Amino acid sequence: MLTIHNFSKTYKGGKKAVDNLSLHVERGDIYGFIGHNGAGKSTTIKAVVGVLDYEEGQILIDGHDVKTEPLACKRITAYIPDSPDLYEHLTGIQYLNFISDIFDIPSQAREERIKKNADAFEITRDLGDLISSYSHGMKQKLAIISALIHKPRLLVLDEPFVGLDPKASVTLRNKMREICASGSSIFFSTHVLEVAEKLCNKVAMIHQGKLAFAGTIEALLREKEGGSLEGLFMEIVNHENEGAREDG
Amino acid sequence: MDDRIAQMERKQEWKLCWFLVKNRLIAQLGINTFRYEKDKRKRNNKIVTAVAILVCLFMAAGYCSALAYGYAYVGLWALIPGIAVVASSLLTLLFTMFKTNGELFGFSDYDLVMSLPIPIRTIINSRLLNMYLWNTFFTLLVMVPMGIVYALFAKPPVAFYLLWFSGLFLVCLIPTILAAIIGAGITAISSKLRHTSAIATILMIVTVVVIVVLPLTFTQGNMGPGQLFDSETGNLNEEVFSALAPQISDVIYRLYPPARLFSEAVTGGKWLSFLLFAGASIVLYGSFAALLSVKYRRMNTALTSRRSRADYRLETLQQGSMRVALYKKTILRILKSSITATNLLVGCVMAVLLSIALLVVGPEKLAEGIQIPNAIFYFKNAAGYVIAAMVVMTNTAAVSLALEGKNIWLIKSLPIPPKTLYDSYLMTNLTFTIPTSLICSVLFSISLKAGVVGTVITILTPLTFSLFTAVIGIFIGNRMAYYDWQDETQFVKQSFMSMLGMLRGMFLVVICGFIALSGIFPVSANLITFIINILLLVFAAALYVHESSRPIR
Repeated sequence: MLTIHNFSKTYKGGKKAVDNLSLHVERGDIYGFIGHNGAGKSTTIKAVVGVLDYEEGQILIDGHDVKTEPLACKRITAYIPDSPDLYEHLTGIQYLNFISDIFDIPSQAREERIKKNADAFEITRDLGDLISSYSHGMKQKLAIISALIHKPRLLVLDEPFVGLDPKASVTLRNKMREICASGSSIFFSTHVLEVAEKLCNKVAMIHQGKLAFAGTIEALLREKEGGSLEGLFMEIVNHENEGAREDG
Repeated sequence: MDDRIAQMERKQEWKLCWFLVKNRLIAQLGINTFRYEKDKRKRNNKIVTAVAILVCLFMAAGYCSALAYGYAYVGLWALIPGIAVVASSLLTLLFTMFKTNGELFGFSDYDLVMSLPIPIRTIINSRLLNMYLWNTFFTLLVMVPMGIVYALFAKPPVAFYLLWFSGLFLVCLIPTILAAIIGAGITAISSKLRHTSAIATILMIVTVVVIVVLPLTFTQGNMGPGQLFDSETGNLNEEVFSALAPQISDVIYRLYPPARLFSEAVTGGKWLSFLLFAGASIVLYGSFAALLSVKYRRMNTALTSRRSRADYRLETLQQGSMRVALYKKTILRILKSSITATNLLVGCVMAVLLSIALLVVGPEKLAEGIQIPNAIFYFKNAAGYVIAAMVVMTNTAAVSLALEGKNIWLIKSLPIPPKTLYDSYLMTNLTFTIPTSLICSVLFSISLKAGVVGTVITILTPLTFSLFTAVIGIFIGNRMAYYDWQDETQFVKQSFMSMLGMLRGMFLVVICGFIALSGIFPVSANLITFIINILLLVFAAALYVHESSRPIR
């Protein structure tokens, strides 16, 4: 569903945010993307969803190239950024209607999907209010509902659990499992390693822009007997830091 | 001991105040962009903006000195101090009123600043001081050249220089506070109502109209400058001339009484008048700052908080096209912010006001006032250009993309073809300019009794310029858009894009109007205007096709 091949991104000033990253997300995968702050997670995600331009590598979504066929990719993708900056001058329902119009969702279908997801996230009563009056968590919920409106085949989420209350977190996890059971895929970044371990079937770890590990959770736990995602993450980070010190 | 503690506290407050002002100036002037920005495009943008602003300011200073020279040349130099004070005060009043909401109230870093251990009065002082510094700068631009011209002609005593120099730093205080009071009043009223931004926008426009129209009521019945010269011989009309100076003075002083005090002080060396002027300015400033600190937090809370009804029930949702969805979103974006609405729509408002004024006053009376032979003939030919010059100031297409700001991730991640997005921006722009152009050109045609051909040309010209400048707006917007602006007021008022969007259209109208009306071509003005319209429409169509396939920046 999502193939990232030799992707690199260098920002102006020469800083290489991502260096030769390759990974593959298959249909039905819940793929966790793990890394420390500034590791290159958001850069990769923004390039995948067409927000960030890039020069090196290739990113394919369901066989469509993000660079040459951006609209075909965007029609089957949904993206939720780490900080949901939504149109604050619109009400919640105006925003959802706007997104529905962009994806050309028929009237009845949008009503059903909005009702189902807004009820699940307990935000239906707030949809008539301006988004500027929403808390961070409510904005996050609205962004999630809008992302699910067109039943995307690839859902890309940047730190989706930040700002959500415990109940909404559980709802989102269940929703993610439901989406993947229907054949769609999810690629999401997170700092919460426990969530990734319980929710994902595959993970990739990125450290200082480079891929440090990519594979299934089972393979990871087999490799590190009795270990955990947290243990592996700390091992990678510490190993790299020691390497850097020795180089220095 | 208590005095010493109080003195130290005051010193500390001023230090904090200065920190806040300095921080604000760094943001407004983009100093850090010059110093630290690695992206050359952003730096160059800033430099071009700075140069463009400087050119405009020099032109404004040049205009002021020319105006003063005009008065001095005909021997009316005694009027210059009064005119200088009124001009700079009016400028300060209008500019400050527009930015009160966003600068004094509801500013972007309000939450951060209020959470710091800084007294509210210090915060208010810092915001007022910032406004004062900018307004003093504009006052200098008006009053320094006018003062030099006055000094050259009147050859005043040394006291004049002392008083004029001191006055430069006092003149803007009263209008700044008046503007802040008006802004605070509008904010207080609108913050109590549901549609805060819409009410604030309407009240602001009504206030500007009153401020612009009010001076006209003072001048009714007075002699126009055209009567200063004998229309047959071209010589100075001495009888009119001797009666004119006190009449103009009277109008100026009725319009703005503090101007009398300042004028008396600098022309007659009356120190008492100056002390009264300075005292009134300082007392007004201090009283306002003190009074505002009582209600400041409540007003800002009311302004920034949103009503939450939490009683929504899902009803039938209408399906619409992508283009219309984007159009509705863009139009709401502009109208729901009083800052964008008042600044971007000012051209359309001015055009409607002028059209109504012309209908009420009548072209004959206007022609009498300016004393140009055959004036109505020129009015008829220029009508379309006059309307166009004002309407094209409303160029929302140029800033629509950049107005997405931090929401740009949405536009970029959604499957929106560039052409559809640009169409929505064009539709938004034309929603404001086309009806305004039609209304104004019909009113102008009725007032001027333009005839069939004249009416068609008067209607066609502003429509063509509206369309043309909207397409050019898309061209500019997609090349110069940047999204990391923090302050909407600053973006809408001071960004190069915004200025270019407004002034480029006006400049084009002036050039085309000159070509059509100057008589350099031996054909009728209507025919030249018609050809200009056709050329602009063809160019707009070609540019639209070219831009439609350009990816979103």
